[in-house]
Amino acid sequence: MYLPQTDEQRMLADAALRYLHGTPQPALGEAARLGWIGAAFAEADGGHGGSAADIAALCEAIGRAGATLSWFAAVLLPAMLLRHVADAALRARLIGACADGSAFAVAHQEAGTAFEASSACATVIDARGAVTGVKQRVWGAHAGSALLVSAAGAGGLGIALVEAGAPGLRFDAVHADASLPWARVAFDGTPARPLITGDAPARAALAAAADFALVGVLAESVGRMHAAFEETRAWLATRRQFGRPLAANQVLQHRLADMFIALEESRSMLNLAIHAHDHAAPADRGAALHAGRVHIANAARMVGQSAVHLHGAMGITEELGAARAYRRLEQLGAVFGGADHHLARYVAATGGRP
Amino acid sequence: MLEALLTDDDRRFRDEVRAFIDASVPRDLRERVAAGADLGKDDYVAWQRLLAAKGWLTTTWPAAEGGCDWSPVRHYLFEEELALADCPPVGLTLGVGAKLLGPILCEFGSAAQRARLLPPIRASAVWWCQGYSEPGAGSDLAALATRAELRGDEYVVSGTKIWTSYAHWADGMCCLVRTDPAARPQAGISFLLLDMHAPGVTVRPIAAINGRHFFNQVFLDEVRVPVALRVGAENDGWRIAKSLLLHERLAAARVAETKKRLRLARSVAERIDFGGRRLADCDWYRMRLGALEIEARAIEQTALRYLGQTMAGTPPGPEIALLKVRGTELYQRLYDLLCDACGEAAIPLAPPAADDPAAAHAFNANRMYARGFTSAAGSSEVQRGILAKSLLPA
Repeated sequence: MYLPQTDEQRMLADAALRYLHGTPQPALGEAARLGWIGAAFAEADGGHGGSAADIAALCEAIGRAGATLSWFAAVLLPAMLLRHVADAALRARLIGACADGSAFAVAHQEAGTAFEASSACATVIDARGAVTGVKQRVWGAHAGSALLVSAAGAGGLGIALVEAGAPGLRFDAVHADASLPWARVAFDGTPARPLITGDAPARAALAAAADFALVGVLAESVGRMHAAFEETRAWLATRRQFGRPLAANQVLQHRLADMFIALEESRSMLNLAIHAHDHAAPADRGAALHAGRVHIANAARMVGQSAVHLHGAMGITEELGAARAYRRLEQLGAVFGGADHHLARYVAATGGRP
Repeated sequence: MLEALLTDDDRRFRDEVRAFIDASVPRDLRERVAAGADLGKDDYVAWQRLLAAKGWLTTTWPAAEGGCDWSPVRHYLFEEELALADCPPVGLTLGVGAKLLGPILCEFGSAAQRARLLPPIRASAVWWCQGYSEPGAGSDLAALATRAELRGDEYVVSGTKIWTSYAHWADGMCCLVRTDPAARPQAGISFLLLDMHAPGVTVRPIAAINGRHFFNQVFLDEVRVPVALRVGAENDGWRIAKSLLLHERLAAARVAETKKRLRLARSVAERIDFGGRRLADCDWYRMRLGALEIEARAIEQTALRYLGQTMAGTPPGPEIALLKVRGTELYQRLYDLLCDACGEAAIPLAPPAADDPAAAHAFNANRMYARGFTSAAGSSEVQRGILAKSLLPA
């Protein structure tokens, strides 16, 4: 699909790319202060974007630059969840929370292989608004995060707000890897403020948040693939073996061509996912997002693994950008459910249609 | 999405195309195309004349020569509508006159050639074939050896062409010949129009892997071709033959044909029993089909991205070659799926079993035929080479 970036999107992406080349590991608050955070919010909420097209432009730049910044977890997931469950004041608070380095995180997943696949909810909220339970892999969370937690109550599933430092709140197994921070979070009679209640609206809000964040994941994947491809292309052109450049070998030329094809198609599927997210009817939207996920996860694996392989021993070292890109691509390919999971969802979503 | 590229005018045009198909294209013809039947020359000529009567046979020609002044989007839309409605193809194989020679004459032909040769093509009154490949020159087309010597105002042509599709139906052949054996391979080639009924032309049929006859070998033994039937300058034939329209490069993705077969793969599975269950309910089949559908979307969305870029004035460069690689490879795998779905029923028997539930024999015949797609018209390896050349320093 042809989906040119707007001038604003291009300017944001260019600025982010320039900045990240000098500062590849910015703190979240730093990135927020540069104004990037606004891309995830509509103007009414104090942002300057809010569409999948807006956040994709930024996330692709993050991927291109190889920055260790989990935008999808720290910003996109809570931003979209808040859009569905919170009033304007609370939504405005997230921008502030990001800007001072703390943030909101979405505490949902308990069992299952991925956020998107997590349907069980053993965490409960009682009549007084106290939450008890354990949440696994809360992406982007750290001890200073306020939490948007899914919990079952008398009215069905709901989403509630738990402030940072609330009584009975325990972060354990905080995983500090800057590339994908997460924590396991336990609640024990922790006071919370219910935001919405009811299975249908709560699940719809969680699904919308996951969809929005997934577009960010796909965009970052395309950016990472692009970087890994470019590094490999330059390597084939300069590295000499057996008295000639690697690029003189047809088998390597064709492997590079296949990497390029995978990247080109991924870009087209990213555009489709972005457009479907922002404009399509629900059935088409789901199918396009699942299809984009499947294709980009498969392509990312192929491009990343080829980049590693074509660099020889260097390919499995920490210092090689393409090696780090591949490692990240596999992370991105697993969050919110991988290719197999989304293929099954795609088939279910399109099953009855010719 | 194609929809995103359409204007209101394009949508009205699409309605017009659909109305034309409904009103004018015989239903039994479309049914035979849908069933993968082997059509005859009469079928194709009748179809081309239907299009010609509507002014839609020679769409890619300049308007002044009887073509349509369409945007790239409209060409794409038109082809997709015809293919999805099971109209017979009119492409570079079955429409050599309208789709290959016509545009070449419009660009490189003399006024006299255009005046004489274009009207019968517009009316589908002649059948042209393409004489490029030779026994020693396939993917490496510039190695061609058929010799044309100028004697007075005639070329005398001797040599042999092979894999010449539908030469047995043809009145004329667009023929690449060597006119300067001393020049480097690409520089010594000329583009001649040769009368297939002339003395010295012999057509030998070659049976194809699917049991059908489309291939031929053509022997040329001192065939005389008037100089007036050379297109372009002497030794400039390579450039002429290489001039493929953007439209044809997009068509190499086979998007509409693939969509149709994906639908077929769904509907066929409804009727096939797989160990007491409908095949359509078997997870293995649904996953395999779903995976192919997603790949088809990736190819389609890439073709549409390039189409959109073209409309925006920044057409794609060599990367467009990937469409043929991926489109043909996917098409082949889709036929593998269709045949696997039919199981033993896809094994050709003579005569076909009366209870063949899914036209399995036609699937198998077309599967066999489609193996040629990755080697014809610039093999997948040639295309990957084009891509790599554009990505790496010389």
